[in-house]
Amino acid sequence: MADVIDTAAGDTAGLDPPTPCRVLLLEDSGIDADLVREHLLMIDDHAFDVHRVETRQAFIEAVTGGGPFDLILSDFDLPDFDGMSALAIARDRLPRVPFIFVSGMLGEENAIEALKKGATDYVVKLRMERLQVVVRRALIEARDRNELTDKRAALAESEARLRFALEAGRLGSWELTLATNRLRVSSICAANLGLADPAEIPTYERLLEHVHPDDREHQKAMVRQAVGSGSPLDMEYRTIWPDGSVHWVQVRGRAVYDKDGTATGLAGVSLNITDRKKAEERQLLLLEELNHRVKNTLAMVQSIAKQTLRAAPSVEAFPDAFQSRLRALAQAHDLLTRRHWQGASLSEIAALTLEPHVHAGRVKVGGPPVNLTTGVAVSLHLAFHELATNAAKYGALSAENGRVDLDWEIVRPGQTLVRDGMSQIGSGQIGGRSDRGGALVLRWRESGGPPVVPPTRRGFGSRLIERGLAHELEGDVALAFETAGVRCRLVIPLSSRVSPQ
Amino acid sequence: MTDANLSNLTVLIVEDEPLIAMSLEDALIDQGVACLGPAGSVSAALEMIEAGGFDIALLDVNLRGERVDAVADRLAGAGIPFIFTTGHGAEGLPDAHRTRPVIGKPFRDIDITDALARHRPR
Repeated sequence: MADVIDTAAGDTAGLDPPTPCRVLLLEDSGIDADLVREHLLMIDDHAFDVHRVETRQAFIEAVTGGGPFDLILSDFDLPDFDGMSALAIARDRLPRVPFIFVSGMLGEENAIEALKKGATDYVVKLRMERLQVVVRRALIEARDRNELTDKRAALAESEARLRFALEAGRLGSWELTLATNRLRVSSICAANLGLADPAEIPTYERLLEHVHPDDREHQKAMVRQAVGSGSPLDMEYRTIWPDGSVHWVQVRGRAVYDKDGTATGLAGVSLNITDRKKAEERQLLLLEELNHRVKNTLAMVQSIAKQTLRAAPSVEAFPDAFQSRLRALAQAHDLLTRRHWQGASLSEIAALTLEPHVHAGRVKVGGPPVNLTTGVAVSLHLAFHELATNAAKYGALSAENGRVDLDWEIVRPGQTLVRDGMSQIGSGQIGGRSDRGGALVLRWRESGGPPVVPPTRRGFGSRLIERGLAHELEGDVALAFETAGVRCRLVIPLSSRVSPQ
Repeated sequence: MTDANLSNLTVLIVEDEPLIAMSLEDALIDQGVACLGPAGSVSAALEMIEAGGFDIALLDVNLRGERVDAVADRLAGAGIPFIFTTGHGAEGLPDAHRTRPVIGKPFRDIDITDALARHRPR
């Protein structure tokens, strides 16, 4: 039978001894205080731990620092203090703790006044037996009330946290009631549609007015699907703001059901994704541009290969000429990439071409600052590359004392060209269209090299300069194989593609 | 060897990249085809269409960053056939001319001459 005994003992031990209820008792009379204690002892489902104070000072100290208390019992008349003042202090400091007057005499007026000021109840000493009922009820009510207050505070705090997170994430929240098509949206949700006031979109129809017409049907279909199938709503649509600008919104949501499983609404969040969409569009454009550029470059390489092959005196001469041109093209791309494909300056291009030849001061480059677009920069670089390669092989840079001067100037309309001994070639003045806005005049002059023998047939370089460059720049190009040295003059009309800084 | 289908043909070349234009000229002249151009900008192309004197055009879809819709419209309006050349895919074509023949860059000479023979006016 030990088991049974053990079980019984266990049951008793399993009941937690009730946590003592901490009572603050304001009472100057020791006899009355004992009387209160006796009556409290008779409340069998509570244990009490009574802290008695007799003076105003002691009461204030207990209330401000001595707690916590679960119950305050207070006499009404004290030698240096009165119950109403004690009540006021307690309500201020411990608003959640029930306050019960225990008094010898308490007129009806005082009683009403006390209850109005926040007292929980009162017990007259002549009917002290009421204390048990009053205390029990006060404790239970206080517990319930405090629990509710705690829950409300926790709920408010959780809502505040949620709102903070939504705001920090720039997430708007919305809720649609299906029966009425009523819409409730947060201010961020409205702001995502360019609206200052959530009240501007009280219904789903009003929301649709702000959706881009091309996206409206899709929007409606997605919402229908989310309601019908219960699958999550996740879609992006364009919205037209009141100022006419187009923005992108992403919404995510889910249907809400009643207890019968019928969808009653839809709720979720909305996010302004315009920046992301713009970045995606830029990305696509860049990829498209890259594809275009690669194809174009391949076509240029193909052209260079074909024309180098045509002009090559022998198959053996092909690789060197081809690779050298390919390298020149690559150099131009390197320079333009460093300039983020925003163009280059003429002096940068000249330096790029002539750098390998600038030794012992045999190449002189000079002129005012001129900006070139990428296409012009590549063409000029390839042209300079041909001139420089020719000079190094057969011209001024092949001899010890030969030199090259590359200079340029901006010639304004009406201004005559500086005499350069080339007036017999091409037009001596800047002709046609170029005259109106001025022109860039660029000269390449070789001297001190071996006597030049004019080529019997135009090679790739000559053709590139005379045909290609003239075409590209819509300018006049003169290339002369004079005995004293090769000369080249370009007259390029100024434009957005070739412009002084 | 000259393709009989290319005899007595004059082609307008609309192309902004000089190297590619030169290469096209070489390929066509080798086949006995006469060339006009190259026109490297929309305005230059429109001027050359105005002047006339060609049977068919090779049209780069983008000239120095400018779309060639206006050039295509003018050619179509004049009843002159044309073939697009492009480094973009078909999506880069002017909307009104999506059914026109297209040759992607880089191209083989034979792609060009075949297309010209097929699409030249009869």
